[in-house]
Amino acid sequence: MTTADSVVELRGITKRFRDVTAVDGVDLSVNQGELLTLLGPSGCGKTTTLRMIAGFETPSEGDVYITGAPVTDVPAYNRDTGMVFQHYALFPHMTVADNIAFGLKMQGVPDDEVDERVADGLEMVRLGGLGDRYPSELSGGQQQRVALARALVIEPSVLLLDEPLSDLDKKLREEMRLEILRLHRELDVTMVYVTHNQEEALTISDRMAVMSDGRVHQVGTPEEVYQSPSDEFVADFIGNANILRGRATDIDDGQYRVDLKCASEVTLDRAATASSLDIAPGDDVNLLFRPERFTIRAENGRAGAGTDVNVVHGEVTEATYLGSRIDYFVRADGEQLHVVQQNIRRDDTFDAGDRVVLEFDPDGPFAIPSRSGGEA
Amino acid sequence: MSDESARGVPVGADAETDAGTGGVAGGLHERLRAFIQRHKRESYAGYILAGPYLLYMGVFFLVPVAYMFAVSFFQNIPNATMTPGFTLENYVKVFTTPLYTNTLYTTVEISVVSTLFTIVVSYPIAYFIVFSNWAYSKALVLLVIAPLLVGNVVRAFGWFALMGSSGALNTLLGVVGLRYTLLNTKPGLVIAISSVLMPFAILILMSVLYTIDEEIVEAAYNLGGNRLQTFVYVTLPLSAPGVVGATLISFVLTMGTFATAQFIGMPQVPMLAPFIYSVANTDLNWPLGAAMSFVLLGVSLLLVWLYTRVTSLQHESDGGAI
Repeated sequence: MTTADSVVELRGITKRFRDVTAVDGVDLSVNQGELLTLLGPSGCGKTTTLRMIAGFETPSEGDVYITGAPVTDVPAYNRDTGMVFQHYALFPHMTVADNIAFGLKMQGVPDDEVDERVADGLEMVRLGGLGDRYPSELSGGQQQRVALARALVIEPSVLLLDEPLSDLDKKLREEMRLEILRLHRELDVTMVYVTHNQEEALTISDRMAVMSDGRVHQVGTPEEVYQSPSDEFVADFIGNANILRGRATDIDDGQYRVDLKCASEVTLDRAATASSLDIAPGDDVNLLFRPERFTIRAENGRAGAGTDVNVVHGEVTEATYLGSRIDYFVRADGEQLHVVQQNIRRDDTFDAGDRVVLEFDPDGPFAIPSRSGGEA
Repeated sequence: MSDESARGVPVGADAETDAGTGGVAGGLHERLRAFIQRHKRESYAGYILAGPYLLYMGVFFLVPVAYMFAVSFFQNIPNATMTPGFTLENYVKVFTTPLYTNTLYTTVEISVVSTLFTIVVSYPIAYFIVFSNWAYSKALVLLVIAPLLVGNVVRAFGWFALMGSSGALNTLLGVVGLRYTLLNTKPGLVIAISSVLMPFAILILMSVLYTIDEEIVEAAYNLGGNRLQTFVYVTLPLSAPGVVGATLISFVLTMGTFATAQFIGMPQVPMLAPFIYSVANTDLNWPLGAAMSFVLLGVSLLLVWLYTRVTSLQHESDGGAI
């Protein structure tokens, strides 16, 4: 059953190249008007997945639907998709205007309408007046704008972007990211966006699908994926993660206790638990601590204030001053913890060797299944 | 940076006096000397790397060609030798004797037809080798190169044995009362010459097709271009330099082809190279042979020039090709 407003739907997509399984049973649906990123390390199958949507690869198993119609056996040139490639892939022997006109001409759009829509396309990506140039005469950012215009003027049901910013330098990358977001919002065009850059994915996604080893680990909004990762891989890949192993003890409705080697007494909110987990007393649990969820203070600073619940005692091994924030590494009973502290108070900084206390709230850590077999 | 180099250049001339007076300019002078030394070392490297080839070509190519050019203006003395001098009579003879002009015409004709035939047959297989997913398509490259390993003379003799009027094929056909003639015909010569050209053409076409970014072809598909449209508007124009290169090589090689032309064509389908050989070796008329050689060279260069002119003009208008 395709849902009414899903533009792209993948069902049990698997792609094998000889004996390598690049994509392994992926189910995914992209809703009308949303920007979905496929995020993962290189070789995770995200580009192969995108290429199967475009029709450049045929799935070994499973089916692809675009606007509800099965297209698994439809060649790329009959699919209603627009694609933006990492290396732009502009036609080097054609002018910018001819590049943008190509898709319209293939569709048999009348000449005067082609001219009009090409001009509009150039305006859309703010390249008006550059229609007569050849791609080689443009900068990387301009070339990628042409590629965007070329893919958008054919008004595809879905725009596919394969690492579109990877070839650009940092400043241009940010500029183009905003440009893509602007087009996404103004044109209300559905986008599937492949990237290996987690920061890029967090900033532009409506939803993101985190992939590794050919499988989708989690699909969710950036906030869901960051705050409530489905497993250790996602926790580790999106942002920085301290993962501590412990054992659940007392459990009641709202809270449970965990024995952690490096911390005294830990009481956590039950709500901060991956949905696939059902924790019972005696279970091993993995707790994800984001570096910014700790509050760092001197061990003998406000000592004695409050109880010794949800604190970790340790020693700073490394302090990196980054201006707006300070990165610490704190060793606590054999564990190395990464802690990020906003640089708010002038006197609250520490150096290597200082004894410190790390505090966290009951809803700070997040319990996730372990890599090995915790996904029951 | 830029104003330092601006100062550095004019100083070069009187650097010596600057060094003599010492002072600030001494540093600049030393830097200049170091630069010159470095530059000299680089030039030595150039001589060492390019020298052997340039020497070789100078002695064994330029000198003989220059000598033959001089010979083409010498006076021929029948059944004897030639006398140095300056006469245009050899060239006049080449252009006024119907036998020679016909031979020149046949040579150009065979070259053009062989080249066209070669490109038309070579392009598809080169395309297939480069773009096919078939696991063994790369093995085809070996098959393509294999003919290069067989000398032209050996191959021409093979053709001779196969296609001759009492050759293997005719003997077989004779059983059912048929005869055919390819030996000493234009089609036979074109087929034979093309088999020599194809390996070169295919390798050149492949090398250019390999440079076409697959993403660009995919972009054309993505924009709705079917296989034929994508080929016509994208792949073919992008491979044009390969077509031009393969055409030039094929044409120039055919214009000067000797062994194949000698064994398959002569005497009914004469081409200039074997003709020149017989003029020089049988008639012992070196000046005439030399003049014919330079006419052949001149016509080849002229046609190559015309061809590159036409194709580069076409390339310039490619922008609006669709």
